[in-house]
Amino acid sequence: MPADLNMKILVVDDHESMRRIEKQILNDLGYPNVDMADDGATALPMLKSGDYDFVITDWNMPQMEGIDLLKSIRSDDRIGKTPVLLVTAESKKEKIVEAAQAGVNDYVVKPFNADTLAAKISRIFP
Amino acid sequence: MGQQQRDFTKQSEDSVMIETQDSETSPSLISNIELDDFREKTDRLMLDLENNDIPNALKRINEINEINGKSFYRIIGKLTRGLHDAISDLSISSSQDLPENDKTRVDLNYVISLTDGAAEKTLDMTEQSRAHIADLGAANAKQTAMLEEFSSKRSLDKETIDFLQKLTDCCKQSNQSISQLNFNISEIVIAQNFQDIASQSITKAIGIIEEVEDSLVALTQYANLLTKISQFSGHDTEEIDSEDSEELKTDIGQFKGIGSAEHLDQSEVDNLLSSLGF
Repeated sequence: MPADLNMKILVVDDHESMRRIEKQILNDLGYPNVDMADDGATALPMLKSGDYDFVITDWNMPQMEGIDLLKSIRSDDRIGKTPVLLVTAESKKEKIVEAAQAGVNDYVVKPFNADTLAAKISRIFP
Repeated sequence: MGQQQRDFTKQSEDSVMIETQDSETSPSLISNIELDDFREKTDRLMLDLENNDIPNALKRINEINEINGKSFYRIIGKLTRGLHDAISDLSISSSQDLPENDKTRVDLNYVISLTDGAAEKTLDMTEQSRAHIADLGAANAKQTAMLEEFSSKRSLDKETIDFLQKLTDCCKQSNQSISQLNFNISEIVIAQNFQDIASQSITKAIGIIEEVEDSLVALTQYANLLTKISQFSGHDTEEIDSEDSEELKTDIGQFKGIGSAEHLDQSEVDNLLSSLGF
């Protein structure tokens, strides 16, 4: 299903500037419904209580890392199928394999540009 | 034995050789007393070997190794001091009341907080600018629509038509500038991306510096302990040397591991994901 411009997106990153950057890029790409969380532990209850269509998360965060957030999402019956995009500075091969095995939908290495993000969204929502 | 450790050992051996040649003109890694002691022990070793006195020859070899070990630990001490001074030199803030090393760590964190603040201010400005640009775009669109409406509904003389055309051209030009401004703002936002990477790299660097410094300080302290022990017993150091060598090997291995991790760029990540069925 092609990406719905009105879909509800949750951006998770412990760096405020990074959250704002991703939000602005998503707004530029035409997605106005973007919420933000500063950590996996903050994001998980938001995901469980909200109707998010798409999650973009960092890997390295203080309370709950992105990989653990991904695993928690996948193990939850209600939100288990929510597409998850990891946007992270972690570019080690073993990390990418770990994310793939945990069920990530795609992976973007920081720093990234708007075209890369748009291409990944198009790939996740073909 | 890893390459880096071999290099350390080689450096130690080289240093002894160099200092043997230039001990009167350069700072000593091996003192004159130690050098005399070294010569005396090698002479005795030669005599022991000539007399086929193997137990005493082995004792001399251990004593010679001990001198070499002292030289090695002196180099470690110099490295520790060098690192300590380098850390102190990095200090750029005015947090004078902190101990030197802590000050540097605070300073590096201060750099992170400064650049974070700069990134956030930039984002504040870009968000405000976007709002102004949106207002400009809306006003420009309204002017263009009014011009089109005015031009279409009235019979106008040529001079007025020319004037309206010039106004319409101005509106088009403004519209192009507004689009370019939007593009530039997006590029500024994306450029802030690097701030996140920079602060993560600095944080990792702080951790690495702490680990290396702690390891070197521990090794220097151990060298002091070794020296004290050797004052009481000439041969008890052999076993400890071996343990220390293993510890150093592990430390160097860990340090090498930090720099040699395989990092992939976006195209390599995509290829890897494809190979995993994504």
